[in-house]
Amino acid sequence: MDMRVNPVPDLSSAETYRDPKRHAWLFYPLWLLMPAISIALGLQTGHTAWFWLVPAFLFIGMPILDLVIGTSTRNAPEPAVPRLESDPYYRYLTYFCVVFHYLALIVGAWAVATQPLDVLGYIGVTLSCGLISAYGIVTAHELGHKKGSLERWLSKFALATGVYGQYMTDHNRGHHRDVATPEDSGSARFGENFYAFMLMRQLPHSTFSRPWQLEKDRLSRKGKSVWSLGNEFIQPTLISLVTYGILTAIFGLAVVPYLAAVAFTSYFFLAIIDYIEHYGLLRKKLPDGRYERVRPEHSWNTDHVATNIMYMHAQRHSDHHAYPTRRYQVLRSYPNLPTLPNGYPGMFWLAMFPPLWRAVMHPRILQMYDFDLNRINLDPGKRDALFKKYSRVPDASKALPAAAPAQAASSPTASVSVTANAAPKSYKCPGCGYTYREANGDASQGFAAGTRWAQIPFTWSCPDCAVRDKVDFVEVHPARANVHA
Amino acid sequence: MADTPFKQWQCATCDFYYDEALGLPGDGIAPGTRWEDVPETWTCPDCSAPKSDFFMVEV
Repeated sequence: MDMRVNPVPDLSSAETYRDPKRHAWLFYPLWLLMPAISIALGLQTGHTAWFWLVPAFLFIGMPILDLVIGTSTRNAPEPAVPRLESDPYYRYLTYFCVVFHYLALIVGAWAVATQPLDVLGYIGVTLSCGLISAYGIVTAHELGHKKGSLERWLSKFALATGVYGQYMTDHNRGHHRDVATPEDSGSARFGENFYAFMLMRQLPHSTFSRPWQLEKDRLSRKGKSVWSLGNEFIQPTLISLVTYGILTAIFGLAVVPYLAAVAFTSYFFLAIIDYIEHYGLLRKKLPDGRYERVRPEHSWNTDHVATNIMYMHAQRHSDHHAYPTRRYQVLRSYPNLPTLPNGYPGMFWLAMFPPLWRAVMHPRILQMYDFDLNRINLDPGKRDALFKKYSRVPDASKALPAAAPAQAASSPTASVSVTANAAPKSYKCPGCGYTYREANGDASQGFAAGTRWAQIPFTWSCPDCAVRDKVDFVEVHPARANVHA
Repeated sequence: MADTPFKQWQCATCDFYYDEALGLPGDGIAPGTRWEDVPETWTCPDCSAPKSDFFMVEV
């Protein structure tokens, strides 16, 4: 008998590969049950501290666990991916999570309305349920990227616990399109502190104007009004209103501050995750006005195991942007990518204290780009100051008008004065033939006669077909412009 | 095949449309290029999702 035969099976082959995190994923739905468990413990023992179990674990326990457990860069071998993707175990876990989000919301409402909580207990319960509601966005993110309608509807229901149903629309069709560009209200710019990002950009644009406009455009392509039940902004908002209405009807007005706080907490932690995921990272603008395709270096990643489990691998963020429909269990880690120094909960602390954030993140980004601020997504209001303070190369955007005026004319960020004296031009939609003439403007779009192409926002789409965007338009030769008049 | 009407393909993530009639000249894909002739390595020009994430749009 040959004793040298290796008895260890090859675990890396497609058939025999075992996901080392397979059972660890159960911690995620278990975590969603924590508010109910902590409320039960608090009421049973009479100790208010139990009501703070969820925030304590998230803000203190998780950063420590990330430090202690460390990182794992292990990926499933590619031949095993189809089997793992189709394994219903992973999918059902996410379905159960949606139920648990509602359980947390309802148990919290019951506790604040019917149980004799002191002020600290009330705050603890509200914060706990708000945080789990914020996790609704993590659950919904996983579900909302899938192609099946069941998963997309479950995503809307999960988001509805925190009144943030429009996230799926904004995230998929707005953020994934505009990510790591100055146009994206969901990508933070270098020099922008979290609170400014949240209040000045994330709230007005990612929360309201962008998803509303996206739905308006989509529905108009189908010949429908934006005010219809097919509107994916309106649908989940109605689910939220009905859910919150039922809870108020059952438990009385006492739950109104609780529900308001839950919705606010959801929004706050969504904004903070958005802030972290692409801070300062920038896609290059191409000569045709488009941005280069999203590449792995346009997202911040982390391989901390604890935080990977508790956020369903959302921190393998580069792979997520490259393969948005790929399921959480098979998202991959890559070497040499922008890497966060800690998991998400640890980064929350830094984001909430902007000087700490700057102290940790700015040197990291500056070194990554050799102190060339032209390669960084900068807060435009601080551009000059940041160049003066950090950059080792001059600001290329200042040299643009003299060096390449023709290119500047098609750039939405270019100085308008460059083309002020040039003859008016026309630009045609390649899809439907609509032509925008600078000389005439387009009153229906709010562009006065003489409005230059460069002054039209990058996010503007063809008003006739709504299929093509500004960058798709082609300049019409003056001799041919009149033919299409 | 030549008589088959041109089709539209939509990105499951960002809703970008690939219209076979229009192609995508910016990516070197000529107007009239059928979906099956678009390279497998081609990705959505808006969100970079893979070609396999596109689905056909009924018209």
